[in-house]
Amino acid sequence: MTIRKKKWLPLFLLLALLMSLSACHPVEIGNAAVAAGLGLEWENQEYTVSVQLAKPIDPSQPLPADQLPFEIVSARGATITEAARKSNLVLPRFPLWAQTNVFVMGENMCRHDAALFADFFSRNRNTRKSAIIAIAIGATPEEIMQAEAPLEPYSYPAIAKMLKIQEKQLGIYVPLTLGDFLFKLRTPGIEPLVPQVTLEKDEKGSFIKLDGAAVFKCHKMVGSLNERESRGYRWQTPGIIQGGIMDISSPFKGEKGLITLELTRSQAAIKPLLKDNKIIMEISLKAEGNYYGQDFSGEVLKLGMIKKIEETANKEIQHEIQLCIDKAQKLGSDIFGWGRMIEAAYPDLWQKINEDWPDLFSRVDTDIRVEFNIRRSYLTDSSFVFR
Amino acid sequence: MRYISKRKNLRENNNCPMKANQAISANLDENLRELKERLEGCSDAVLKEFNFGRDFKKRALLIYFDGLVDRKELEEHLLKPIMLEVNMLQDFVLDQDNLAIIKENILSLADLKMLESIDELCHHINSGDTVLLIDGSSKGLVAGTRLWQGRPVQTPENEVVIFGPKEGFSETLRFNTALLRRRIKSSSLKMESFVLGRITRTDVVLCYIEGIAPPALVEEIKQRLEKIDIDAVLDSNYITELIVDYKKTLFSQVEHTEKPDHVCGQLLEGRVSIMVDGSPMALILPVSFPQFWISPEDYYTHYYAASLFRILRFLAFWVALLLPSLYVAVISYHHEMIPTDLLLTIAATHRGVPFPAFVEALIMETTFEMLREAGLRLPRAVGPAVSIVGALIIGDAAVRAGLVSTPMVVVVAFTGIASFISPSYSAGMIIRIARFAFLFSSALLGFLGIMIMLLLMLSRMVSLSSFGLPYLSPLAPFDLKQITDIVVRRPWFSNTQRPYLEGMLNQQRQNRGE
Repeated sequence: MTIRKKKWLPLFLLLALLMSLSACHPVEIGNAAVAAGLGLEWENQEYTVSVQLAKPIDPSQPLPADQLPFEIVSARGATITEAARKSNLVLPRFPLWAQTNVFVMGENMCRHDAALFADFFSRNRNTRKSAIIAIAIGATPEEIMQAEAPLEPYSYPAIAKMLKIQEKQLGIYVPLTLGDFLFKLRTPGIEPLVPQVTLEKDEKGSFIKLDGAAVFKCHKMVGSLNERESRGYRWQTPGIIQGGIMDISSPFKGEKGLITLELTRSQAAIKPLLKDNKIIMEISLKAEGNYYGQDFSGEVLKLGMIKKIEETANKEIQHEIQLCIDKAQKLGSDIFGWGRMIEAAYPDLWQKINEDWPDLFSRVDTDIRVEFNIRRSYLTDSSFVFR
Repeated sequence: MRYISKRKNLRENNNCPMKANQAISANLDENLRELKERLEGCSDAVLKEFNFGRDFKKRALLIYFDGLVDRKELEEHLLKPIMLEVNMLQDFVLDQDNLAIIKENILSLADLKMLESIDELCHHINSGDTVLLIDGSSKGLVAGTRLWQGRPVQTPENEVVIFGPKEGFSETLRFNTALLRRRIKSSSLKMESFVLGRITRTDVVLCYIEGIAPPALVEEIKQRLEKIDIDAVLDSNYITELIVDYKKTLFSQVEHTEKPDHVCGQLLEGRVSIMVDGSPMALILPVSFPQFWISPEDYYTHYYAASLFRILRFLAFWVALLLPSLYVAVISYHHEMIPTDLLLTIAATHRGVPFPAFVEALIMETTFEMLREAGLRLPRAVGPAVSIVGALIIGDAAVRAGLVSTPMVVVVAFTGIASFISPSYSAGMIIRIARFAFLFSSALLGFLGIMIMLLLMLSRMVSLSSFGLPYLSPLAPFDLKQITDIVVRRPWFSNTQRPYLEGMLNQQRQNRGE
């Protein structure tokens, strides 16, 4: 009998050991708080961590209208970890960071050094690398957290939704995840471009608005792209992009007005070329779109005109791309990842220019070719005809 | 210590109470004395002495058990002919071999047999036959007059189907074998008889189809049945636990069914069935685990529908096995797995619930199992009342009182329903028991615990076999051809082969294309 019992002994020991594993302590949901968003700012040698804690939703007992569905807890500390954990001085719950979908970084911290938070986030296993990252401009992350987003209960997750929807509808900013952001920070030959959020104030109150995109250079934020430049960046992102609109001026000589085109898909092929010991980036873009509308009278949708419209669209796209490249080169930040492309195409060359790339980047020439095609015109196949 | 030694003695004394085999004597008085001794205290035994022949010189003894025999037949076809018609025979004829002459010339019963020993005699009268002894003859005559009040053939209560035959086995073995014979009208349907149980002397029948069933399998089962030495066999499950290879496992290696059409379907796939007198449950073996999720009804419905329901059943299997443990693991360890909005809703329902999710799940699961068990045993009149109260307590009052959270009620209810989706009740039981193991492991280690438990369970299952058939076949060892008739229901026009069974004699079900 004793021999048989001994067979079970290791199993019981194993179970007992497993039970005492500290990492495996369950966090009961009643003791946890869902962190919908996290804001981080650094000022006067001190971090401020602001957490947007979502209140539990009881379907049978909706919150009173005057109560916000979230609580904001801010804490200060010399390191991020300390600041984040100091939130427990006022909060009797475990914050669940894994639910956090949006991180908003303060402008001051980013302009000072991304190293202030990069290591923490790349190491931390509780934060989602697929969370969206944004940078607060003209307001602290905490102020943005307090603002309201229309129809949305929580302002921070609203930022992620706005970023996604505007890309389909407008096509200006490209959302960036925390994981991609960290990847671009640590990879030579590419720099991150992070969408910015700001507060817009009117008589009714303040609300969140996406405004521009922050350009990083060597783990520091060095400047911003405006809307048009951001569009120029979006054209050059790798892979197929879908959705968005663009306005082009009327190709008619006499008629003044704008034509709206809807982008259905576009893909850019960027290739570094070596000519006379000079690097030329060859950007060739193929795009397709639909005719969405015009704001002037006159028959534009004719066979002969379509070519002209397409040419105008080509020029517009080319111009946007050029604007973006000019700005990036002015700031000296390779947000397009040209360096990585050169490394892939000419590894030997890259070994030589690797060190001076930030300098070299500003002087790289480009050759932009755009081919835009109109495919459909929706419900009418000609322009609106007045009697 | 003393107590144990006493028990040992008991065991030793508990030998077979039967006496040594004794032949029937030619002297009727001697037989009568012997029988009276044996049947002492059996108030239902009838020992009827009577005289017959010219001048009523001949003495005879009729033995039977009241309630087991057809009295009308006994009187019409046995007593009457002997007492009235024997008179017509000459004395000298009777003097020679009474019994043989009576058997061949006088009695108008179909089932007549001679016997020579008292033991045999006892077994026959115990089974409902009538035995006739005549003075001067050292043999007995058995007349098959069995008739007793039994449950008629009814719709099985536990295996309800919509399409297909609705007959179910009853407790009388002969009716049950007849139900099989009516479906398979072939002499290759063999039914080999065994008598098991030292005291109960229960009839057990081993059915198989000669020419399909593997002979080695049939032989092995025969040997195992013959080895059984137990005092009583009251239900087929007694046999199950005595003949299976792996006796200490949770996983049932034999399928129980009440449906004769299901038995026939399995016999035609080369399997073997064991039926026990007094039990409406037939055993089917060998059986693999995936088969528990196959209903005979699948083959009677359109194959698209049947395939869909099969997939649904497999889904329900995982739900019934894992849902509570997955819920507990997610709620206590892996909050990141739930969408934020759902988490917030769950968090709201958990507000004020005093127990951790695991305890909550344990309470609810136990309550559910209690209700189920009580529901089985409730008298029909109070059943609905109690189940309504139970449902209200679990569903509403417990939530309102803040003892459990609403999602947990949903999870437990869903799991409960899913655990009854298995066509085989015994497979449902396996899941319901295993579910608790998964619940504990998930409370201990979250998903990791569930994975460890799954691995343990799977490794146990692949190591099992039911009479040579790997327990997880055709999933492991993998057999694509057969899986098409496990995961989905293959239509009959493409179902040309029987599922493979080691040693099977004929795998061809139909010839295609002709």
